Amino acid sequence: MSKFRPVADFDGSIARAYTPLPVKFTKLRDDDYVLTNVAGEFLTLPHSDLKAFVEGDLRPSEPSYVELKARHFLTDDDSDVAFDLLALKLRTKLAALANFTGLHIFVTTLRCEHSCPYCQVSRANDDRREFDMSEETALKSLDLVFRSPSPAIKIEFQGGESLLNLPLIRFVIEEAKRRNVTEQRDLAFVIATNLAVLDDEALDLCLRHDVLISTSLDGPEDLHNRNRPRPGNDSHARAIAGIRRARAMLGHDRVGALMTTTAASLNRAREIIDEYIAQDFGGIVLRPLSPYGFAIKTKSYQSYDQSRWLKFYFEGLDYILDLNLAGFSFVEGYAAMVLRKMLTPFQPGYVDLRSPAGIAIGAIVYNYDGDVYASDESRMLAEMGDHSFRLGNVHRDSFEQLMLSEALLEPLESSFAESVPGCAWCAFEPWCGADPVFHHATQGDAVGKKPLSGFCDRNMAIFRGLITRMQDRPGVRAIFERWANQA
Amino acid sequence: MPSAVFGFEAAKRAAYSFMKRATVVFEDGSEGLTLIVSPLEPSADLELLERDFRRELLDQDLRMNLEARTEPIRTAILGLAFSRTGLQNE
Repeated sequence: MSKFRPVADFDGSIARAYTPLPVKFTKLRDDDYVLTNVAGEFLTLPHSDLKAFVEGDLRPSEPSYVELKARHFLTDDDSDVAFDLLALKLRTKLAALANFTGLHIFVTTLRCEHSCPYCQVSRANDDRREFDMSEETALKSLDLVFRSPSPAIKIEFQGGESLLNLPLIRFVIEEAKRRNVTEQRDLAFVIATNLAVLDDEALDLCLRHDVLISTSLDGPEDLHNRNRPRPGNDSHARAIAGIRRARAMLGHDRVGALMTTTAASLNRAREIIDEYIAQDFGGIVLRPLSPYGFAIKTKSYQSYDQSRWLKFYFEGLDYILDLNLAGFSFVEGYAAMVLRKMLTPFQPGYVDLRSPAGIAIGAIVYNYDGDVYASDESRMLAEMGDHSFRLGNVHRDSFEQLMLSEALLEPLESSFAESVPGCAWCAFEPWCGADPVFHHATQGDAVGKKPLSGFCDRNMAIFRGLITRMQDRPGVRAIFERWANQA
Repeated sequence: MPSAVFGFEAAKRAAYSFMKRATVVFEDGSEGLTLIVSPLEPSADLELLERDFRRELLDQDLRMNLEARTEPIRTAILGLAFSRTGLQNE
């Protein structure tokens, strides 16, 4: 065997044998394609280079070859660590799966004093106590919470208006903390509330137990009040007053807010973002309306189409990027979650963008009546009369019965994106999710036909939009990397 | 469409990907596979539709080529990724 490699090995213009590593590709725009590897790392190539790469004709002297090799899309005689590195990155991405359910949602009551037409949980009138969770149901639910092996447990209280059943919230927190003396989990609490009925008693509870507040803020006062009617038409004033009181008592970062886009929001992306800046939030999540609950009954969901929402989203995102490029730091939260998948080896905990789907194994819902649902959207669906994703009841079923129920396993298995038509060959699959509940709600089956899927359409547009912005606008890549690493 | 150029599987995938824009009928005759692509929108630009469909067919064929060549490596990487999790014994 010669001591030296042949001269041809150092001549980049000569075709050399290389092995492509597992790669998926999807058109980005015009002649450009996005390629992703099993760890979700990506690069873009013109179609001619992609074709040459697949057919084994790419030469080492070409810039694409160097890039493909550097990012572990191909391996040749000079690179032998790609397998190990890709396996390590994949293992890091999937590590959270082994932890099982981390988010446990307690629906303390369906009662609410708001009457929002887009409400996705089908609230009940606020004087009907039969819609409150009992202590007995809460205790049974806590038994299930602590059966999850997750080292980090987050208990989130939702409604209706969750604070209308404050005694139950107090009971659950105190009981969970008592059990955690022996369980030793990383235990956290969140109260989702519109803040309209926030009082000192609730704030004192939050302070003593380090509870996070998550509220709704849909934008400027007129828009918020139009979206979120309540007696007195003062939802915005109460939300703002509540945010200020909660921040003063609990700390600025202990209060978060979410917005929902209605037809009335679509021309007001900048004003909505300005409202979040005025209220001193560090970011916003520009969310579409979901096809559940009152949003369907009142036709709110049908009142705007996907393309109109995407126009709203990108108008907002571009405005936020302008602010950042001018030196004002502000984050769009949905993009930040996606970018964490695209630009880091880590996975955000966001349930919708997971495959296997996050239903029950990422987040689970204990309804006021003891019914257990695979996700928040599953119970919203149930309020519309569709109980497909009801796993059982805390009073009747064991942890094993709930977690091994067909209502969970069948959609989990069938919707696994790696093996679903459309997703299986899509370059965006490593960043996307399965969302069987959405597809069941919109198409009648958990898998769904992806070319007709609003979920697929929306997320593909966002993935493409994020990549093209990194390509087209100098400085955006650095901003996106910052968002990805703080998400 | 000669089936020697594009396989049936690639054609099925392309038809699936195009279900929002067109219906695709498969006819397997003595001259190979024939695909009849009809737009769902009567006003669709037929030339554009045909060009896009041919391109989708080419992409699907390239994907399948790549999948076949990388399948053993993919399995090896997945095996390596889960090799120390203990899950393979379950």
